[in-house]
Amino acid sequence: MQIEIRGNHFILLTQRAVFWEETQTLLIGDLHLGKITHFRKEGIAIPNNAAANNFQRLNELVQQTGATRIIFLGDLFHAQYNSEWETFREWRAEHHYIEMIIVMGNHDILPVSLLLECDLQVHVEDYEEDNFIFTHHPKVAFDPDKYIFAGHVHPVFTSYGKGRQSVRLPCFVIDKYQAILPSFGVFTGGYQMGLADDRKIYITTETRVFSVC
Amino acid sequence: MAKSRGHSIVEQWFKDKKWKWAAFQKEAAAAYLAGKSGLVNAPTGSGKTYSLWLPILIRHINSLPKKPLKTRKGLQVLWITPLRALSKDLFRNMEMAALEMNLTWRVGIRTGDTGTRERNEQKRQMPDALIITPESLHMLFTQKNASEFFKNLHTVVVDEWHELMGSKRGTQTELALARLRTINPNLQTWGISATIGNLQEAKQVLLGMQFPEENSVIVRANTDKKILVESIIPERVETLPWSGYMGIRLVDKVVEVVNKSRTTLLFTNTRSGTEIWYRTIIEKYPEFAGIMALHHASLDREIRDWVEDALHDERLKLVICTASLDLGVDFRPVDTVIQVGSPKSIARFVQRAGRSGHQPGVDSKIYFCPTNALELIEAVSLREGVIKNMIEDRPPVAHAFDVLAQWMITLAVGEGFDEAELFEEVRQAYGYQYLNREEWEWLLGYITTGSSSLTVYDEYKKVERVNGRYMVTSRRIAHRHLLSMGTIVSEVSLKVKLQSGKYLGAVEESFVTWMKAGDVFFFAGMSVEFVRIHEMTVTVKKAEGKKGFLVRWAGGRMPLSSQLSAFIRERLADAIENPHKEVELAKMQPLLELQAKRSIIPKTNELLIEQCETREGYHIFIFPFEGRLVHEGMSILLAYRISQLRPITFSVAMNDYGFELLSDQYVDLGEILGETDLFSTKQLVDDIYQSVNATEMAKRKFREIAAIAGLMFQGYPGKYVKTRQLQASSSLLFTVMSKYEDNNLLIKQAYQEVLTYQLEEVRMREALARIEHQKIVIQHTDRPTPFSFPIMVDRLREQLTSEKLDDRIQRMIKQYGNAD
Repeated sequence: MQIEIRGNHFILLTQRAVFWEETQTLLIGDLHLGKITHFRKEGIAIPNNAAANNFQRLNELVQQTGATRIIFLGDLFHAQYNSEWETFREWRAEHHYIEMIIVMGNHDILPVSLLLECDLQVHVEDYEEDNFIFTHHPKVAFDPDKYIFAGHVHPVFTSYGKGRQSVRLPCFVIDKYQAILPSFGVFTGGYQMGLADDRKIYITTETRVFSVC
Repeated sequence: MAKSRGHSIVEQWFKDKKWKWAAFQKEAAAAYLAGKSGLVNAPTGSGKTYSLWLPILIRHINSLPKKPLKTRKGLQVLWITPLRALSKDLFRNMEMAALEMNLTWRVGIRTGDTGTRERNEQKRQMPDALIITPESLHMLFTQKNASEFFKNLHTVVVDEWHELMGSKRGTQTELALARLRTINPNLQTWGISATIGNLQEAKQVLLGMQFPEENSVIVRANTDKKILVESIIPERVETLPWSGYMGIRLVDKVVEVVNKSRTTLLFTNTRSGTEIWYRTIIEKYPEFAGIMALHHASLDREIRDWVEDALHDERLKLVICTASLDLGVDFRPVDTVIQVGSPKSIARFVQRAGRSGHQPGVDSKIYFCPTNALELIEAVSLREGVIKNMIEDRPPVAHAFDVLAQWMITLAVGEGFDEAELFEEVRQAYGYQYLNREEWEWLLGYITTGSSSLTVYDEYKKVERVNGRYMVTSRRIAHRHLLSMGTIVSEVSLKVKLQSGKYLGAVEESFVTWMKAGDVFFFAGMSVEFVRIHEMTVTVKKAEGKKGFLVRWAGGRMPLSSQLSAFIRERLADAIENPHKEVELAKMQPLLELQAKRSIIPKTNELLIEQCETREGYHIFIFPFEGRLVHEGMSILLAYRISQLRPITFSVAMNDYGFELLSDQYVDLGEILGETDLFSTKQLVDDIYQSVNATEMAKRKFREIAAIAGLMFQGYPGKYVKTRQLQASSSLLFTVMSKYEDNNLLIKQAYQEVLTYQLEEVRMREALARIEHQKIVIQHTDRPTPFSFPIMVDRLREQLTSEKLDDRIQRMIKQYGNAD
């Protein structure tokens, strides 16, 4: 599903990421790596093979799009250091030719040195490029010249059908001055979005992206 | 037989109190003292506590040595009760008897309310008899020397066993009992139960699979008391009925009944029902202020305690309540019981009727106040069910893997366990008799490696194998387990408190999220104004004189029991032929005549299907009379099966009497029934999974399962921040676990619970099998009938606001009413 924002072209992907064509950049929000292992350390039995799904999709994206750059919109790693970080380091090293930028989120509590060591460009608040701002927390005040890409919210949308049927899916929220990406991570919750004026919502299944309004 | 010393002392005590041994008390005592185990079937207020406590004291007295022992024996008797609130009354009665007989036996209480000092006391020296809840009993097993506590335990009594048995707390109790029986193979186990349809089964569940039948008995208290059912009949009965409108209209007649008695309990089926009635009565009869009170599960514990005490002291003339007041050891009987709306089960009705008037020889009387015209048929059916004593079964819970997983960790925190031994022990419990090795090994994997494999190790930490025993070695894990033990999972609710600081109770989050300052609502019997929400508390202030919304709770309503529905079907079939047998039916004549005229009243060997067209579309109404849960499943099942033959989608709606399929196209059902057996039981489960949104339903069941099995981190009290990283909804856990694990027993359990409890699969099968033998009668009606009207209204109720609904109903009544 391709959309246009401020003269640039963005593809909304079923892997729950956005590809910015003009700069060959992947935008990925809320990966929450390490969350599954964190839970397991505390005795909560989330299946550990689920974590592999994150890297499977990352690989698909990188191959499919041929991206040369990735911007992580915060919450890359969920909690304190655990073995999943090593898996990420290996994956990053395999893809050394891709530039990777991270804008910090509320869950990113790993020391910045570890991030730098991993060859990631670290931005603590926002990252600005051209007329776009990349950040973690959605903003409430807007500059009409800039367009914001944010994460944090983990937006989902529920559609209702006949006979009490309903389905809840991750979605991309495209507002007038700001877009909110769905959470990328396999083990992330969702926050129900509502409809609003000047808002477009795109829901995604594993095979297709649908425009809701 | 020479009287033993114990007998003499107890009989003297009886004489002093001017009481008489009831026949069943003597029978229970004899059985107990002969070393048997079993069940005492007796209602509240009949002296059931003493039927076992006294023979226990007799045994104690007869075992006293000539010279008193230096050290105390420790725990000898466990008395398990489902409610903390009941333990106080029990304690009073039990201790008083012991004291009055000059015995040095000590009785203690151990529940969630027991303070630290008392707990430490008990740790040092256990009382001789301990009143305890199933949760607190499990807690005792988390101690490192748990077996030591129970080495002299010879008797366990489980009070209100019928109440525990039908829930996971019953399974919890079964597991603890199996353990106690391993510690002492000669343990005597007794249960005290109200009347249920499956008492024999209840006994077996209590005693376990290995207990020799010849050593167990059921002792029944004789209840000669008749129960009289009187309906409060309205002046006028609508021919097109719909649920909920009638009750309040009868408030004057209800108050008449209340004024004739000293004390009255008025039962409603929902919490909002109690609030509506309270408000209606206080507005029309303000003299009731101060002598009328509310009691339901969402009111603050303090308020409920106050009401229970005031009721005890006869300071209240009327208490409006829900099932919250169904259990009670020593509530002095009230004069009058009024049941508003059908209680949907004969057992519940009988139990409540039994609360009224306890003079010997005087019959119990219960008033029935219908909330719509069709409920008059239920009144008649209830009366019949009571006379014929068709009491419903309480099926026990089986295969609760979540409870078993929690139990395994509990034992691992305590003394640890040997898996082969525990496997055999657990299989002694009724609910786990079919447990197989595969399932057991999955559970072992779940608690040790957090996966279905017993060999994969990673950072997962919970239970470890130490020298062949399964143990929890980490204090942090042990502590966290203690915090999350139990099987009662509460709804997410927000506390409501007055600005003055007094807590009123709790409401569901969905009710308050849209509120703003100044909004008025009615709760806990008063009008309050919303001030603010902060964290999990809603602050309000009194708003006297202002009228506001009534609080709504999303709780599920009980469906009509199959026993009651069988009576209803028969009575309906009979009603037109024998119209004046009962005053309720006589009153319903206009309604029944309209139904017979526009359609038919089905005979018991007929299944009625009505088809009609309105502005809304093409309606199909089917009336199996099997209760709303079965109808929910059946409606979706039929919609699916029809859609396999014709390209058509339906919206569905249902109530306890039938269900509706609504669509924008006409369906020739006669033709379809000729092509296929819509009501076949073949491939039932497959078709159910295809049609129902089983995943959504299973997710909801999983919420409880996840909490019980230790997947939800409850957090340390007071430490809000640190838990943020461990918060995940059970719905997310469900999605990830079902996707990435093939044979996860907890996910399987969720789906099974949907089939068993939500869709009532067994009952649906029976209904479908019954329908196979019925003649299907399709009536094409030009307008909705008295039977179909209430289903239509229920459907609209979900879509429209209450003012719009009222309007709409009035218009519909005009349009479809009498003018034929």
